[in-house]
Amino acid sequence: MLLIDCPYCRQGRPEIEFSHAGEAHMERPADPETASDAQWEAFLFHRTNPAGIHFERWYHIHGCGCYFNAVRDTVSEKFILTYKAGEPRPAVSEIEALMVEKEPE
Amino acid sequence: MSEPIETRLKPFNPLADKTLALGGRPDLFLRPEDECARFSLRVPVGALKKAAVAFEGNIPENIGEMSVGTGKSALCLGPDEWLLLAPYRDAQSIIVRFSQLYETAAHSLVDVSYCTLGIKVCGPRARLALNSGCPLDLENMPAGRCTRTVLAKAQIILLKFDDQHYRLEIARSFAPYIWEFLKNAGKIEEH
Repeated sequence: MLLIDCPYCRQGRPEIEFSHAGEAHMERPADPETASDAQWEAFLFHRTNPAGIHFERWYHIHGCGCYFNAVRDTVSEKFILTYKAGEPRPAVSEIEALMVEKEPE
Repeated sequence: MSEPIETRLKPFNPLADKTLALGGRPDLFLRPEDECARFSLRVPVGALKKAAVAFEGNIPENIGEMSVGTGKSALCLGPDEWLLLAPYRDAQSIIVRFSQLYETAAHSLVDVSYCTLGIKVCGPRARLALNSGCPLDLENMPAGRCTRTVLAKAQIILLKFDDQHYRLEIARSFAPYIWEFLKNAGKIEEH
């Protein structure tokens, strides 16, 4: 079973405790009244869907009950790192360094 | 103020009067825990000391820690979420003291006494029975810790007192299912 590091529980927890919650860092238009249809469309429907590094929200629903963000490789399905909700998107250099570390020998 | 809790109807307990002892020592012993009052507490960590005063008991600060006293227990389930257990006779005074706390500390205290029931799981086979449906590493989980997790697809709150003594908090409607699951899991021979 896949273990996912919850940044709140600070330990690897079994994947069945978690629920996927879509792409991370999707920003809602700051002023909904003046946002254009195109802005709403982008917020509601446009997702990056990359083959590779993906920023995702995860929900530790059967654990601490917190949402957090994860960087996951959609090709290898590996979790590269997880961080608390509200924290900034990690730099690409940081992610790449971790990916090298996690390569099997 | 509403009438005291102890005069309310007793909650439905689908496991009432049940006990299970498998094997000689017994290897697996199951019993419903005594009914108690339960509260879900949400409060910022900064106001936790005030909450502990209102609870008149220790409330641990970190996720997974629990404080088990005589009668009153507090389990930290999330960064700002606690489950408080107390005897019924203390329930009304806890509600009153927390209602006074609203003036100085924003928090939420919800009576969830009837939501779950407790099951005592002990014996040399307790860990094997639990691990048959729960993927957590219970062997290396330190004693005196608690967590919300999953047992055979049902959400539980698991308390570990020592390697052969656990307590589950399980939704009342799931309790017979979990009871039968543990009973069958306890019968499996380990190879």
